[in-house]
Amino acid sequence: MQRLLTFLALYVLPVIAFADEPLPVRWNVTAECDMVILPQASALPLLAGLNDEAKIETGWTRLRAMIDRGEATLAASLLAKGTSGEKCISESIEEMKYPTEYDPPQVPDFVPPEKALETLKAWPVVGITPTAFETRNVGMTLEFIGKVASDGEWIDVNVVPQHVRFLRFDKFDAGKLPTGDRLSVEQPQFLTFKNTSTLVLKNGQRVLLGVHKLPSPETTMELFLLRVSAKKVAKGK
Amino acid sequence: MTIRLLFSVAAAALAFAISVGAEEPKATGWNVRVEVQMVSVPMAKGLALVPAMLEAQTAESAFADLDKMIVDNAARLLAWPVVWIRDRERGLSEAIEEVRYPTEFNPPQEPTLFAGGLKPDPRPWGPDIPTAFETRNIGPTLEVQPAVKSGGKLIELSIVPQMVRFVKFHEFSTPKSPLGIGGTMQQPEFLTMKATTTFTVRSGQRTLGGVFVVPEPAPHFELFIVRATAFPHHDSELSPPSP
Repeated sequence: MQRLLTFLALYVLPVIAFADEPLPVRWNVTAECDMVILPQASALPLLAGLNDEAKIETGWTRLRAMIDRGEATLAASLLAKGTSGEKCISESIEEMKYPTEYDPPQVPDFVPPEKALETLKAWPVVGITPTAFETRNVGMTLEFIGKVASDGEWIDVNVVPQHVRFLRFDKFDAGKLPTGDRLSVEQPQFLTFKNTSTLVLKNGQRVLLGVHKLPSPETTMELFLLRVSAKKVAKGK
Repeated sequence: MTIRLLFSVAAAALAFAISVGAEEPKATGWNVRVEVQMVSVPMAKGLALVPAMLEAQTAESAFADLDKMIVDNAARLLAWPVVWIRDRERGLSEAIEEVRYPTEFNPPQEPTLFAGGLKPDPRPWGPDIPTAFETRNIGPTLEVQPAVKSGGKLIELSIVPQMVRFVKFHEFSTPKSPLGIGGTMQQPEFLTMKATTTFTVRSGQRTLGGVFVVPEPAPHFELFIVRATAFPHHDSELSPPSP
């Protein structure tokens, strides 16, 4: 009798108790990040609407119309999709290599005794030789973790959109020759727009996440708009 | 089957009762949007605007005047960093230009073989070769950590708005060699305007968070205008209620 009760307690009752327990719901989360460049004069009137949850979709529609008409430029439209709670990354990058170490100009190995100074003066300056390089990723990236509440209504968002631009090479002088010519090395200058945010959004909500000003042309702005949505994948028994 | 039906009816009745009788659910957590307008204002205008922005009665109209000045190009909008962040977490906005510049240099080279009596000259032979570089971030950054109080009416802000500018290169020269080659080292000069502070603001209201007088090109004011706005969300599962 005792064995029968033990058997019932261990095997039969749990099966009955959990027979109707549904499997955990799985969610896929999608983050869409649009990076839009537009003149400051056009951006300023839009910002109030884009900062208002009730008006942002209207503002986004106006912004898209401006993109269609060529009054604004869509620099990127990144989409990152992943499982709830997992990190996903979307990248659109160019790998740019640039020199970081240099060898000095070569001097002659041997100078004839009778005309040493003349030989050195006539020796061609062959410049500074790069000997090591580094790589920098230029372009747009979106890092995203979205954790969906069990009812799917809210999404805990951890997001880092980033836009890196190569601006130019700057010359750094290393020396001046008697002719007035300059010996120089070149180093790249990059521009990075980046937002690091953690927030809770409604499923399907769009926010104006970043507002940045371009250094050139100076009256130009870049806006980062983020929309997150979650979709139920499976709910089984 | 009957029990499930009864449960369904009860749940529907409860949901109806809640939807009819209940008010907007109480916020269980907050998102905060923090924005800082960084604006360059001519000295004369700034002298009138800054005192007005510091007085509660005149602040809003002074901020409105500044908005109009930006639109009319009488003031220059330098940057407008925005950070969205959950209550009590730290967020960051960066719009930075990475300026690389040399920090270490190799000693100038000298010929090593001097046959026939030409003696090594103590002065350098040639250029100073950069051997190491550093990167300095210039441009606007905004670091914030908000704490929402009084049911979303007040926000305690721990905030670090910063604007860094490249000013110019200083050139340092080494003496010319007998061959006429001189070494050159360039070092940059940067200007930083930064406020590191904690203060409490009303949600949605603008406040003056930093005033700087910049001497060049002509003396002018640069103002940091801070606005933080709290937005409630109602999900206790993702974000437990604030203490």
